[in-house]
Amino acid sequence: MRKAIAGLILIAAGILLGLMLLHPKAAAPAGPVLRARLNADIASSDPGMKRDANTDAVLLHVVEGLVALREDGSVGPMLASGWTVSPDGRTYRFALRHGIRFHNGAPLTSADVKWSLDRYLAPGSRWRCKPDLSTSGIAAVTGVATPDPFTVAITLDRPAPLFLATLARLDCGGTGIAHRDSVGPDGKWRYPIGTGPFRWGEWRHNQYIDLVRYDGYQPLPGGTDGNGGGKHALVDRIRFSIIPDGSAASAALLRGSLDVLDALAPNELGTVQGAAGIKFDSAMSSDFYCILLQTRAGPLRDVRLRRALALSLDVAALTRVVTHGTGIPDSSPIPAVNAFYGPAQRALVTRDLPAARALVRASGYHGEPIELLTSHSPPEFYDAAILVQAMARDAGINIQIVNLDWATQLARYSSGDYQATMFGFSARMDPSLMYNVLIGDRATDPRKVWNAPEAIDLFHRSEATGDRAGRQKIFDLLEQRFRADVPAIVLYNTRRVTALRQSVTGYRAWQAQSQRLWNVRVGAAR
Amino acid sequence: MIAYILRRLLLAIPTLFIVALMVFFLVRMIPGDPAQVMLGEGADPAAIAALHAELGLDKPIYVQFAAWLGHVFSGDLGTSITTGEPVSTLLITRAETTGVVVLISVGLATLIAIAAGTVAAWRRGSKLDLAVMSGASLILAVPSFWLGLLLLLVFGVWLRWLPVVGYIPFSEDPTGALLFLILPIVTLTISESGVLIRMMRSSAIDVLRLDYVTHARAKGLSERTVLARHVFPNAFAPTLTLVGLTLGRLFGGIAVIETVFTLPGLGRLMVTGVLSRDYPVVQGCLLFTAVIYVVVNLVVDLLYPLFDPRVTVE
Repeated sequence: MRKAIAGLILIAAGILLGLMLLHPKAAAPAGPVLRARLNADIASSDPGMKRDANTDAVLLHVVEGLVALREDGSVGPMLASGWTVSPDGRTYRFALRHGIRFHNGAPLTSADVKWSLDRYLAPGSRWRCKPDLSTSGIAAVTGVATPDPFTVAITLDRPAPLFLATLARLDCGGTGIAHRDSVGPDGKWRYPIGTGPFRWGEWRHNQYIDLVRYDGYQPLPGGTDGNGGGKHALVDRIRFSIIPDGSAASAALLRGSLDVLDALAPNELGTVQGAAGIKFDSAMSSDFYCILLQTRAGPLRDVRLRRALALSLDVAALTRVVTHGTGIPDSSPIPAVNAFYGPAQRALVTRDLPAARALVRASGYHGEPIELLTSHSPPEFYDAAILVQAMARDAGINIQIVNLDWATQLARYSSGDYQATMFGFSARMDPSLMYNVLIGDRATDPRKVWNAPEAIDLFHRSEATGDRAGRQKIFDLLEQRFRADVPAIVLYNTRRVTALRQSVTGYRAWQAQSQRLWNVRVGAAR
Repeated sequence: MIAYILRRLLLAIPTLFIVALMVFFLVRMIPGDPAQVMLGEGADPAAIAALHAELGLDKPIYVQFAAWLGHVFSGDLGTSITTGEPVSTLLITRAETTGVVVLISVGLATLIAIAAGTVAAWRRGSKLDLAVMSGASLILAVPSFWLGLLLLLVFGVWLRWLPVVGYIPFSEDPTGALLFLILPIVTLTISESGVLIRMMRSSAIDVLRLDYVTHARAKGLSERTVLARHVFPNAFAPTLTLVGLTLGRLFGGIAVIETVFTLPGLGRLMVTGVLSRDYPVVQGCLLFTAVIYVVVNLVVDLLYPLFDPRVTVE
């Protein structure tokens, strides 16, 4: 027996010695590689069609649209060098940049743009922004013309000041222009052949996505500016590794197996903060997290109770705890980083327990349980729900938490089957897009929580108004109505925190919550 | 023997049919819509309806079941809603990863359990027994994800001996794959050895009390011979049953281990399938697990007579 034990110890020692000598390399390709993390696999390689935030972020390295979002949320040129709008506001003429080539070497022409736009708008297309460019959206596209190889004219059924902003939206895949060879002879999508600074490499489902530097890229002048501006591929390859577990991702960063760890969860910050060789970059996000309320049935049908719930919450304290001090409290659907965030939006709804209790009494509410749906996607949802429950109890409101998985919560949200639910809306640059997720006819779209006629009218006016001052007035009015009706209680905006190895330079987080790995370099000292 | 195997396999068919039936309907009872999950929170209702039609989710549920079952009998488990890959291909590639980790881990855990459990029983009440039992209890109390993260931190981050993320398929580069699999294998080996050690010790104590062991000692046989020839074969049979159950359970997925070590295995496939309501993937995974259970239990039953002569395969 002793001999057997001694043998086992010897074998174990041998294995350890072997490991120390081997110094294994991670399965990374040769050449300068920038290694970033995704918390889940991408949904597809087809921009804007089958998508989520990870998909948008990855694909916007490969494809580009006519226009792109700038750092401040405005719209700038990308594949188009410029554009003109007809006097009636219905026709947009885009002049394409010369010398642009797709990753397969084919030159970019207006025919390629038309092919992509026709594909997006075709019957049966699942393009995210197809409903927005229809009669029920901001305007319907009635025609795409190509007067010459470098001009594209898009005609709408009515003027739409938000047209360019819609084309540039990240969740629309930036209306990325792909070469027709991206689709196989069978009509099925193969992989994106775009014009971006990186071309499509390899996608191993649930493992990694490799993008390869495109040497023929023609950058715009200037530096990083949103999804536009001057883009330069400064590494041979980008590897997006899919690492669902936050702790494992932090360990990978600390070990040096990752260079960029984006969207660091607030509760993971502590694991990398203060570690040698790690630095941070962050930006406030153009998102908002809120409690959506049921205004059609149950106790919350009474606006006094909804107001009481809002007044029972110490939003500042809740934000501090839930986001570990990284987020900022907000009572407006317009995020704090938005250019339309003015004095009307800035005023925070503060806790006022006497007023909340008075409203509870006036509403005739007697402690009937109110279900608050939540989930761990993201984990902050659950923490926020616990705090809401405790704070509301002080005002005499009996919240019962129902913890669900994300798919179930999403189904309940989509069908309007809830009394109250924690919910978050990812970055949207234009305030109309923010209000669009709240305002609408609940009878036809149960996801909408606010169907007051005045709100619907103001919302449509905000979409149809191009004048900035006029829009600000509309948004201020909407803000007043929103606080009076309380169809939802906005809680906070998040801060996007990215942890980086010291060897990484040029990375900039921004309000749109997507990783931009162009203009980013990895030094030799990893 | 062959008749016995065939009979067992035939008996498995109704079992698998019931599993298929339950899996299909239970998965659909979970709230949540795959089309909604796939297209996101702001998706157009018309696009969701179109995707329902494309996926066949708009048809009556019994029609969906009949279609799925028909395809299963022809070897087609369907196509993943989220990735578009054939489920059978996904299962085969993911089973390779999970299979390597599980087989090596359970093999090692069994060897550890045989040695540690037998010695602890042989020296029952001694400090050695106390140490083994304390170790086994500690292992049982430690969650596998915590142990995995600890090992990741020590051997990956601090000592830098092993990689912390990534994976190379075993079929592409066995040596390279092993480097990525060492930590998951060690974690799973430790996690699973606790219960096996306790079982082996308990069985060995029962056997050591029996008359034939006393008789063997009285004959003047060495303790090593008594343990190896008389105690181990009789004490191992219950542990073997547990090993079979453990293999079946772990083949069904070691989701936590796979998530911590970013391994593309069956467990992660099933978890992501459930979270995204990818019905074909979840159905395929559960059916595959049921088949594994049936096969592993059959193999265990066939091995049983080797260790317990009282049992015969008839």
